[in-house]
Amino acid sequence: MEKLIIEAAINELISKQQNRHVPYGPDEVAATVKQCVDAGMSYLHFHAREQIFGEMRWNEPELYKEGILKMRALGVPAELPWYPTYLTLDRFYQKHVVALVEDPEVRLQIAAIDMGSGNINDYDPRTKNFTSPDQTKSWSHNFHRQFFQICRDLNLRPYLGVYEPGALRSVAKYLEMGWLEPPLVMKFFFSDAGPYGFPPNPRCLEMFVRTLELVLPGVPKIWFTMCYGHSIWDLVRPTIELGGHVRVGLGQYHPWYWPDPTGDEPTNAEQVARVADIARSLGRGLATPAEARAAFGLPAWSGAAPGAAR
Amino acid sequence: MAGRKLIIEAALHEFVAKSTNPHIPYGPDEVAADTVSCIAAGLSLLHFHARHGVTGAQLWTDPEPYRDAILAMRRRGVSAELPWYPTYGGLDLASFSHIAALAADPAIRLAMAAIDIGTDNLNDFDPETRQFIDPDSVKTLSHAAAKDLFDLCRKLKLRPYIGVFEPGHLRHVATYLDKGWIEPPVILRFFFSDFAPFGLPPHPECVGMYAEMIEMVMPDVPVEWFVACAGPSIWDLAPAAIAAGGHVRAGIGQYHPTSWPDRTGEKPTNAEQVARVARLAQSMGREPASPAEARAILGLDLV
Repeated sequence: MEKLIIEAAINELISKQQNRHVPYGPDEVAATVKQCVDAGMSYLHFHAREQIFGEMRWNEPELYKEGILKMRALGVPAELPWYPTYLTLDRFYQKHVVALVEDPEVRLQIAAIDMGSGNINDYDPRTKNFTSPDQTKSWSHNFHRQFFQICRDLNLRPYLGVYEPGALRSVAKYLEMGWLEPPLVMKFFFSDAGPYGFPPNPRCLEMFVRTLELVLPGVPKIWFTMCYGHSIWDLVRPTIELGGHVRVGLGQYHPWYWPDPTGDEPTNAEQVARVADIARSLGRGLATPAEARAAFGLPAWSGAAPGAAR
Repeated sequence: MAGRKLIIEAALHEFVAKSTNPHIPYGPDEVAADTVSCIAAGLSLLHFHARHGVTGAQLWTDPEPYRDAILAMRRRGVSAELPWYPTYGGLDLASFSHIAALAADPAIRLAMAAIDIGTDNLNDFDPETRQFIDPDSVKTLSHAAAKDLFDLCRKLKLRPYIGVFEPGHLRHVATYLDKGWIEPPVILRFFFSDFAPFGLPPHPECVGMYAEMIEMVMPDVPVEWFVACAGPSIWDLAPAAIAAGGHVRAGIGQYHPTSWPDRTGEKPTNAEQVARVARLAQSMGREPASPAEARAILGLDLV
């Protein structure tokens, strides 16, 4: 079985009130990433956030660049695949993506798209209220086509987030039309916090994987499991056994819209290490950042040497 | 599941034209005659649209063609207990005006309304031209908008027949129950499609997946569920649904593509499709429900 890629979503929208270990600014991001890489992480996702209050800086390339250069200075390999976030896909909000792609020191190569349409609202079990119940995520097929065109223009590998199996069927058509090319890099979303997608349990992970084979047989692809909430720990072992890869991280572990009632405050590196331990116990080796890069079909890194760019 | 009565639904015509299949009924008289044939074959839940008798045009909010068809089929001996439901052209309250009229009409007393929940890309994909139909459109029903429709159902004493396109929609339903927006028994329809790449693929294993997920997300809730499929794969799914305790929707309204010509040349009747489901069910130890039995299973007299 191919080596396991461990991804971490280290901050997302989580505040330090929820977990004091959530990194905000570039220095904290760099330190967290170094610990995670040492624990076995080979794929990174982070949001550019301001250091003091953790405010999201949706489209500022500088904070991303600073985080990347600072983590390299701490010894994180420049090969480490990573991707930023964005609020929307219009030209204004892409400007940080374009800048990060074009910057020779950074050379961003991955862009995530959370595919399809759906009611992706969280539901607070205590108050029994939806967050923003009027809101829907409505991304048409043509919207996806535009995104994939941007990826092609910028030489970015799309990281396809899948909430519902219908998105897998859409991907099959996108491949048929040439909007996408293999290898496919996919992420299955599960959630404790929002009632969408397959329920977050091991049997439903099997259903997802079976559906993937029914819909995209023979297509080169790799897939990750992620989960908003603590059920990620029910999904890690079956994911590793089924040949998938795993995303953990504090950014997806705690509820975004209400206090975490458990009081659990792990670090990102602890989460990565826990996945690494499970993988070792199952006899599956861990990918290095360079191996993760190769699995995504990205060219070998040939940019500035690690730590050289200050 | 042997022994459990099977409800056979038929979607008589939907958007299919007579040029695609000459057996498509248009106006009230044709709908009534077709329904009589389907009842004889085992039908116990009916869905049809109000369509113009000559052109087949959709008459979205006109209650009269519905009323005419229902009264005409009763004159031909169809039981007044037959559960049925109309369509609607939008998700605003004005688009439901005929439904309100049919629910209030003492001669009709409509008791069900179909609510297709969730937000999704439901666009057909033409396999010949390799193009999506209407690729900018998204089917959108927010949670708040779903609540408005469920409130309307409660006010009009209509049982919602909840259309599910993706597994996540089952989780929506469990949440709507938790919030008290809907009440058991929960009546669900799982949509599959050969023509549009949404949802689980139209493969028999996927029917079992849905059945398993009902138990996961709504344990102990009384649920009745149907399988529907746009396209001929309904014949792969029907045995799985019958085996797993579900019910089946057939009908030439869902059988043919409506965004491009049907290239198979197949032209079944609605009654043939119903009879085929009935034979299949009997071979698997399930008898078709009568209209009165279907009414009881669907809890229509409880709303």
